[in-house]
Amino acid sequence: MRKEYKGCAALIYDEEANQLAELKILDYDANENSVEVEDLPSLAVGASCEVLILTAPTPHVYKGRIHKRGGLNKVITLYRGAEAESRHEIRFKIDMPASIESLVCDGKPFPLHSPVEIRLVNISKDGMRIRVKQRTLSDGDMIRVRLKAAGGGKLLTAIAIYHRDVEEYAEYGCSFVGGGDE
Amino acid sequence: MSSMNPETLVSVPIDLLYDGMTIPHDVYNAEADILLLRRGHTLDAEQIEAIKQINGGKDTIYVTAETHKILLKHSLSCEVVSQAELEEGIGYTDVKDETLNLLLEIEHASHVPKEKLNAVSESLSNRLEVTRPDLLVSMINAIAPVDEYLQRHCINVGLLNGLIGRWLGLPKKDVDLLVMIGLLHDCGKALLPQKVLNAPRALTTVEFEVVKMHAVYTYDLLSEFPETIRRAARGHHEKRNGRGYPDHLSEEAIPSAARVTAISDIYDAMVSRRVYKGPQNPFRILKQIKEMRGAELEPYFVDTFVRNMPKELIDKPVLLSNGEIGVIDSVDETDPEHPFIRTHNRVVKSSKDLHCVAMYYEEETKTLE
Repeated sequence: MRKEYKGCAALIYDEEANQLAELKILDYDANENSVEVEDLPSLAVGASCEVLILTAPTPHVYKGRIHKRGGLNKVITLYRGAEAESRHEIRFKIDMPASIESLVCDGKPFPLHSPVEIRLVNISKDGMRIRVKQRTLSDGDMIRVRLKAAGGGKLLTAIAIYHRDVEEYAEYGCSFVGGGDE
Repeated sequence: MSSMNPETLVSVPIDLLYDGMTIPHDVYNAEADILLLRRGHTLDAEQIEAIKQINGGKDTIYVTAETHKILLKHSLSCEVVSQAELEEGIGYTDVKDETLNLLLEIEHASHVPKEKLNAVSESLSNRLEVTRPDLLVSMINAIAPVDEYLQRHCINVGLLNGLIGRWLGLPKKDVDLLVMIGLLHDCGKALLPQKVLNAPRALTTVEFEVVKMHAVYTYDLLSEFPETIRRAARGHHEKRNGRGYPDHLSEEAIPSAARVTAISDIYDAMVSRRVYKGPQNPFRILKQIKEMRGAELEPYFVDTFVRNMPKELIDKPVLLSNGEIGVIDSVDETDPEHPFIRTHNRVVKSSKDLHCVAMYYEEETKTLE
């Protein structure tokens, strides 16, 4: 299936997993497997990076290298192959607002009257950890979560498994499942 | 052990036996294993003292439910009835079945069958016309099976709406309309996931946000009904301060029928037993409704409700915090949480030390094998 990343939100990290940028992909070159992004100072030309692209039903994770090719914007080439595939195990730390928009019961999404605001703690290719006020969810709930990245929102469906309490909050590890869309 | 066939027995204080009483059914000792009195026997004071001796100093005896009713009636000058008797007496069982069918049809077809709804609503209005209000209130206050909550709630809110309409002095057509709105106010809940509707605990925030959508679903389901009815059903969770849902309407923007239904809905929800909570007694609920007066609920309707509802509770038996059974003697409108209670030999105002736990129905029974 042909990938199309143009317009998707993306998170860029350095090799030590420090976040460099949260942005929107301006263009995607399928032949080169590269994305065009804003010319942000945090994206050093020649540097290696990790790129997490928010796509449904699951995000895509790549290793990348940052280039400047004469245009106004920067280009990040995305690595393919075994090295890239191994990247999906990485959990990227993040502090991103998100909201639960519906509860999925028997495969059917039931919208919430008002979305419940939550925080994203980390994210990987297969899942994410969210922080919610206690008694927001029950263990095993399937939820549709809108990630509110600076580069645009993305709706993902996940099953929330209770992880731990942190003061008045609870953290849930969420595994992505099909059914996200935009 | 008794050689009698299994029978439903109730434990009662021995002091309730009275001179001249004819025993309708056999009476057993405190362990329910020795026959003390045979049915048909007429007691005198001497025999009562003798029974106390035979009972080995214990304060209680076991009697049949019917004997229990006679004892309470004599002791407290009140009538003790069971929920089943109440429901049978006013035809509630039929309406309950019709309402369940209605809700199942809504759930499966995502459509409100207009003619069927009109028929159930008319049937409910007729019950309201011919039944004593105190019996309707007793039935609403009775503890019902948890799994019948939704159909009972729809009926009870319809009946409460009708009672409020009558207390407000509304014409019959408006009372009937209130009954119908009460009956269908929660029909959108039939579209909610069972997992949420029957959660065996308090709802999570996410589940509650799903449940809030029922008001919108109800409005959508009633597309063939007049806008007045649709808006009233949609608005029964709105609050005067604008903090309700689904539209955050405030004060006069909330339809009058929705403001009436809000009171009925709150009362019945509180008086009902759910998987995750026990029922509250009506007097505490009246106090809580009074506390919502103004900010959340329409003051005039609250005043009408709090003034009239206690009248329907007078002379009804209540279970007291000390385990005794008393009868509601009177209620001070300004302090509905603390009614005056008649016990065997006195009338006292209920207080923190002696308060009503629940309305009393004939249901605390023991089966003798």
